[in-house]
Amino acid sequence: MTVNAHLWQQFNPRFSSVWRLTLAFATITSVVLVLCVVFIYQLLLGEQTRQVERRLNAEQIRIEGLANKFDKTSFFQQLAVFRDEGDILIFWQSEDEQFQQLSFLPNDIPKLPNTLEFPVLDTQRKQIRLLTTGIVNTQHGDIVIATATEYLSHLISEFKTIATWACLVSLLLTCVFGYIFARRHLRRVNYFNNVVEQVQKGDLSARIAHKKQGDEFVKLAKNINTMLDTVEENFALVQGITDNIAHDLKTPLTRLRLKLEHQAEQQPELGLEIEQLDTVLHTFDAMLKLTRLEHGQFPLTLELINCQTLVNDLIDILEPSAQQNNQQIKVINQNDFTLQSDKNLLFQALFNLIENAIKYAGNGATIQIELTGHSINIRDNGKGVAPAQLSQLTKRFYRGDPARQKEGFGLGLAIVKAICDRHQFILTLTSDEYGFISTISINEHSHRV
Amino acid sequence: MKLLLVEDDKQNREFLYKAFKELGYTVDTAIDGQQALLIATCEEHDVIVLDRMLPKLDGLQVLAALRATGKTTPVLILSALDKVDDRVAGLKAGGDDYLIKPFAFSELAIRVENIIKRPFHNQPAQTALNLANVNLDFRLYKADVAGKALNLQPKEFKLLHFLLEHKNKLVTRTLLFESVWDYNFDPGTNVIDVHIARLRKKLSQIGAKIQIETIRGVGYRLQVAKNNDC
Repeated sequence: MTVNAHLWQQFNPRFSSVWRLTLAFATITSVVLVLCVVFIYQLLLGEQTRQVERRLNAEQIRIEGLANKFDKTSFFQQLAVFRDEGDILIFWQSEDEQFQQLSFLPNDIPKLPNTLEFPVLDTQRKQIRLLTTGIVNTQHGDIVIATATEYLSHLISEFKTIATWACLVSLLLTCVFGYIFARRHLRRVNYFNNVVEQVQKGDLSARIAHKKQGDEFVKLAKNINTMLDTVEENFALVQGITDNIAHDLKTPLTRLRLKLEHQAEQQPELGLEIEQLDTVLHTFDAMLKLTRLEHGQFPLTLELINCQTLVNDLIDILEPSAQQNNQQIKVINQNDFTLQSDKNLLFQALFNLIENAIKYAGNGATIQIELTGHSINIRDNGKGVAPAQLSQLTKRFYRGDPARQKEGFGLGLAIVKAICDRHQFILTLTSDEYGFISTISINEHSHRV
Repeated sequence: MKLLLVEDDKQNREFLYKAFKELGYTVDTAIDGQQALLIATCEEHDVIVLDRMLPKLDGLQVLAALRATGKTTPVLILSALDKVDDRVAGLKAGGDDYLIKPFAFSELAIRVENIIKRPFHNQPAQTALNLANVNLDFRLYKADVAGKALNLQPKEFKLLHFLLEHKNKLVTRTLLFESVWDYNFDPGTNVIDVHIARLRKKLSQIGAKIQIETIRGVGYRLQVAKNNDC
């Protein structure tokens, strides 16, 4: 896995519930924050804006009242008075009089209560001001009233900048703290996972270290440990039982076997009974062996094994059986290799696979054994196996249709699988139009020598 | 030859006692681990056949105690489980042996004989074996029947060698497989039968006056041919 992919996996919300939770919280926090900001904006600045509008409207009503009350001349006189005493700017334009102290007045000023905001250069104060303006229609002509709102718009833009920054910073902080929090929890969850995996691999004595008292994780750890204690106890119990069964069963069987063997010297026909007894014993031993292999209780005696030698030994022992069926065994040694394995177990696994090929490939078939440097392939040109049956083959006591007519108990492939699992080899069974292929391949990192 | 037999099951003990007696051994018996240890330390034996699961003291504990006192008597362990665990596996290297129950007596007899023989292997080694008109020189890796060279595959040679070594004795399938192919595994009757059949054919074609008898359920026995036309 590359570093990037690893990093992405750490941040990918699909792979970690804690991280997902953190992201969800960050999102919720930001939404709430944005809502708060909007609310404060409405409450403080919106009110200010509305106040400006209210003032302009009040002014409009006053001017309209004046226009109705006075004639044109006194109306404009009154206006001049207002203009001088208030902070409201009033401009007008009529045939005889034009009062204008601004450098520029836009043409598209709307009628109140609609307003227009525009910047203008105040010639007296020599500065740019922002005016909110509207027109009042009177019988004496249109009057433009305006009020300076640059402080307000300044405030609004300040507010917006600060609010945006505040939102961004808090989002970032939520993510950072969330990540730290998530990592802490993830580390605990990963630790739990590691211990459980260790148990799965057969180390039943693995336990989760935890404090005496604490949160749900401590509780979970306690429960897992209790569960493991029970499992380990039961396991030991079962182990004891199988040992006892084996002992109790085998003592009388030994008597039987010894007696029969003794009598067979005089009565050769008893040989058949002994063979049957041996078949039963063989199956019994195979089951015990399988159980112990599957539970990681079968000790491996690991040594370096040359595959070519092993295959030669196998062919040596099995070729006469193949010849009985007019079958040929071929070896294709592309790449000889050495591996670390239990000699007897690996021999048994390959023996079972080749023996199966001899049993089921049919008369006159060719069995090909390939060494590829990291795997041993056994290929026959028989009828193969229906794809639906492939996954069933390695199950205990499973017997495919063609197998029912042959002797056996359906343990052969189960044992091969157990042996491979025990060694961390990979067993692959495939079937195509050319025949059946079984492959034992090694995990390159752990077994290649 | 003096043999100590330790087995807690009465019937098996009695059977084995009789069977070993018939083979000419002087047999002492013990029924549990303590008794076994007592007898083994007080008296000298050539070989000890020791059941692994015993009352009072486990078979392996007996063995450990015995070795701790400096006794080097070869021991053959009878085990109910084919548990080739490290301790038992270590035994094989140390000159001792083990056998999994139930076993064939013929195999037990040969294994006992083998572990007794081992220390005395220093005597001038034999280089050739012969029976009737068959000669086998295992130093030169040559076999001949009445002077005619017998062509054998390496494993066939080993097979004949092993059978000649144990001529007139019952040899079990597993013992044969372990000795000739050197794997600890039971390949089933058919596989070995086919090999024996091949060897038998080669021997009869060249006119060897020996025969390999198959005793069903028990094993094989090599002996001088009863009829000359065999």
